[in-house]
Amino acid sequence: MAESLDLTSLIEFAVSQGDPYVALALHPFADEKFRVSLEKIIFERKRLKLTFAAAPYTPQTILALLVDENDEQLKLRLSKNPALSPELLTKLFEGASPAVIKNIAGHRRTPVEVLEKIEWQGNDVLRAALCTNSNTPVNLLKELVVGSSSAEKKGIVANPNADCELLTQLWNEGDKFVQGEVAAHMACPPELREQALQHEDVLVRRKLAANETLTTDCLLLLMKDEDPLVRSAAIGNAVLEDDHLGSADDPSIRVRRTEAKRQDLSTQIVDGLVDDEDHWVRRWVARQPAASDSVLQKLSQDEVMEVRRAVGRNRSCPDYILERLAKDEDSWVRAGVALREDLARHILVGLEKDDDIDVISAVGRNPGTSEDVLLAIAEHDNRDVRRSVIVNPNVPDEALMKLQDDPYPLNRAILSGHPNCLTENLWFLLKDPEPQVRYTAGKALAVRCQATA
Amino acid sequence: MSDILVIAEHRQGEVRPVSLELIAAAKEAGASSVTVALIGANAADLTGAVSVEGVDEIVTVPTASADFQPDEWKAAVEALIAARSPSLVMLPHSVDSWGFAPALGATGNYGFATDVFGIANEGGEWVVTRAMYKEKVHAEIDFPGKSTVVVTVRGGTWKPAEGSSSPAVSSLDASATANSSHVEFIEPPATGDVDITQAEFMLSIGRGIAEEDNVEQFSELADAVGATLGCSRPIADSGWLPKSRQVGQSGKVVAACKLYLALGISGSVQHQAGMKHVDNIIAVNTDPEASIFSIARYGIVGDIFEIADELVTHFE
Amino acid sequence: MKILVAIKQVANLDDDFEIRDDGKDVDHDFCDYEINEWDDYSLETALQIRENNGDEGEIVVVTVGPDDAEDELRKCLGKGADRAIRVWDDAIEGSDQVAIARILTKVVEKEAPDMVFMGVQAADNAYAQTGVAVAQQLGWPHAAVVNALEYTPGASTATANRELEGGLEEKITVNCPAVMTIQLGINEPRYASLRGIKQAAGKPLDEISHSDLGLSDDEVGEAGSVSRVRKVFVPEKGQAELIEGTPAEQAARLAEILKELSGA
Repeated sequence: MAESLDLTSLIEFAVSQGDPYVALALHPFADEKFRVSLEKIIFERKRLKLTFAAAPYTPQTILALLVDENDEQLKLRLSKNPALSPELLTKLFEGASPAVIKNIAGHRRTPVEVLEKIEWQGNDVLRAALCTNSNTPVNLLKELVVGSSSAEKKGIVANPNADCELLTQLWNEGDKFVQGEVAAHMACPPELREQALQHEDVLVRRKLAANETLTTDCLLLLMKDEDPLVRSAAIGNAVLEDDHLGSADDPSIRVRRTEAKRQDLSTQIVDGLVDDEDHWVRRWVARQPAASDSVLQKLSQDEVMEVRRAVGRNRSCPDYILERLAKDEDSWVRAGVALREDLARHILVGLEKDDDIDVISAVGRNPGTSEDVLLAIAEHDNRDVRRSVIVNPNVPDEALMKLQDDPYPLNRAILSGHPNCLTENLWFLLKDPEPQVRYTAGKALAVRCQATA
Repeated sequence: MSDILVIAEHRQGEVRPVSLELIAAAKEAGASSVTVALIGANAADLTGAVSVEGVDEIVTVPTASADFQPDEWKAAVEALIAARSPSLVMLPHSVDSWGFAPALGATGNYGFATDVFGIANEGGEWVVTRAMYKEKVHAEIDFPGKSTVVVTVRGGTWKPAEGSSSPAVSSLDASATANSSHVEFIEPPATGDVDITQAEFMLSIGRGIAEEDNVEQFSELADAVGATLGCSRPIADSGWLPKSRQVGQSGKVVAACKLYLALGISGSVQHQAGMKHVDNIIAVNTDPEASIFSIARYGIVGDIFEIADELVTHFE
Repeated sequence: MKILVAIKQVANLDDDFEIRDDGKDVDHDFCDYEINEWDDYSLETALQIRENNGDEGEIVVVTVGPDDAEDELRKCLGKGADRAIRVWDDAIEGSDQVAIARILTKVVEKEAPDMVFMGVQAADNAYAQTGVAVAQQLGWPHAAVVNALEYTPGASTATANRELEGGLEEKITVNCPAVMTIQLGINEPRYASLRGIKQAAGKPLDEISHSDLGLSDDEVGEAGSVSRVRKVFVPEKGQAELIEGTPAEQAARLAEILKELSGA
């Protein structure tokens, strides 16, 4: 049994075991004749129907049966279940009570055809739900905007389906917050961008500056804005190319921090920021892949611990610097080095002997860690350290066998859900005292059975 | 006849402020007279501290110990009830009260309820309100057939009584065999650096962060708003923040926290175990059904990155 | 050495629930049950005392509760308790903590342990009453809210710390045998090993009624109580006040709130 990947045996086991959580996990994998037996187990108690109706892990096959029960308490929970499929939401809509309709109106998976059938005129609650639902189509938004309140406009302006015409109307009717959102919207029409560029309110100009469909010319203008918040938003805009960046000497810390945070800064800008008095700037710089060895060398001796850790996390950090950071007095710095999957073996060996729990946890996750050390970590006194080995791509089977017996339920739960979990573990965990562990193990096992079938 | 007896609480020579809240509660409950009792060897020294508006009389009950001793205090309250026949006796719902008030209830002689925050009188009968099912439900409690009712009152419900009065002071004897004795008080130890159990303002991040690189942004935000950075378990497990910053059942309880900003945290039972007691919880999450919202005072259904980008602009 | 630990199965009420038709309680279909988190600590206190006593001694767990309370007793047996007792009868329904304490007191008298531990309070209804009520009915010494304990089985006194408000503690000496209510954080409770859980199935679990303990129906239920729940209702608040508006607006309001509440 321990190694079996036969789906029928698994399902027969679940039927004889009688556990609702295992039965729940297997239901979608079972064929008709077994489903009925599983359903008897799953639906035995009303309490569980209520629990499963609300649970995001409940399979669609069971949700469908719960929809068919036509029970108002269940419908209320189903209509709020984020996992409910568009088809089931459509079914639920038929003859639904006002409370259920309200939930359906706000549900992100409700299909457009259903949203369009909702009678929202004169109903503030339904209006509000439809305005903010990102599935609501633009034609419906245009109906909703007529006579809309300020709050409703704010819902509509954030909707990705809004088009130029709608945005123009919102700009004309809305307050500065609405205008800011229009300026930030991808579909913001050119005339409005012009107006936003000249807007007296900082909020609108900086929202414009963050819009990733802006032209470079527009961004260059915004980079010279008198307000640091606007300059910062412009500099942080991913669309702005590196060649347009200034010389890293903006008086505002906020601007320099934003600059330091940019993806893949050039060496030149990095060099300009390395001596910044603000440690946040230095931290961001320390993470830059283009940072030269001499920059990293300098920052690896920074008085602020987080800056040194950032160096240790830098993809480009050379071994001779990592060797030194691996002996840093601060464990969080050492842990950052130990977390590196590419860490040279001779450095990792030293960290394997560390006794700080953050370092040991990082060592537990590192694919380069020796098998003996992984086995020891799987039996560590600290229950949170033990589970670090589960995610290690090279975790030895013996460690996993120890973890299935771990007294801390969370560790068994993590094991049951991870691809590294052995088939043998999964069969064992089907009988775990914790329902979530049993469910996760059942599902994982069923998926594996199906894959080999 | 609704005479109310308030048992004042004191420690290390000072009356505890909750005692004044009880005096205010007694007045609001429509007491025809309010008597305050001070129990202990040096109780007479404290009469000034409870001579506030609304107090008609003070009774001191000198006992063998200067400090709280459960057997002595229980005997004192029983003697007070026997002597004065109050219709309602109020004590604070406090650690010391937990040490002796239930013993009064268990005698069977009085009605008894704890942690009440609503007190009403219906035609001479007391009806009190307390919470049940982890505060999700409130319950009305009454005491059929009991002429004296003893209750412990939830702190922070009533504002403390103020002003001054000149109540008559008398004393009453009560004796008891003490089965335990006070040795000493121990002050809390001074704390070192990042001990999140001492932080008053926490900003915690959860799975919504998505990637390690994003942790820095929220670390910066925590700095900017003056909060200590914390996290939920998945963040610590991934090694993105040290375990000392983890809040929750397998992490720390942020016992001193008064303001908790939860960003991208759904609010699992395990996480809540570490922070649900906090007075002011503010949650930001894209999922309006996230359980964190049911324990939060304020909520934003929204994207934590957008909110963080905006929020930081308001702090230097 | 014998230590008795009283535990409680507590109810976790769903966010969406209904109140029973008679209005005096919630509909229990909307509840999940689990062990009271304080009880993990009181059981662990007993287990550690036994370990320090050369692993000699008996630990008995008791609860007053209906059928499914058995789950929690089995978990305690899985952690190392030796024997469990569950007391229930329909007549016990409607008991307040004084009536519950009366039942537990009879069990203590029957078992004659050296110590009785229970949690400071239960996580669901938080009465913080039962332990000291039992001590009163037994006529035993007691201490409430214990967060540190030095006790040698058979000794006539124990030294305990009580956790007071604001992080202050009080050290006391207590005569023994005693009833102590145990506070969270006194130790780090162990989890039952899977082997322990398997063994638990074979340990004795007695189911008795109050009359087996010599109590009449008048001494339990509403008749045996000094208080009565006459009605439960859903309070007005309980949901977060949602901050509306565009993200910029929400963040601006949030900034205001943070500055106000953090005392900045």
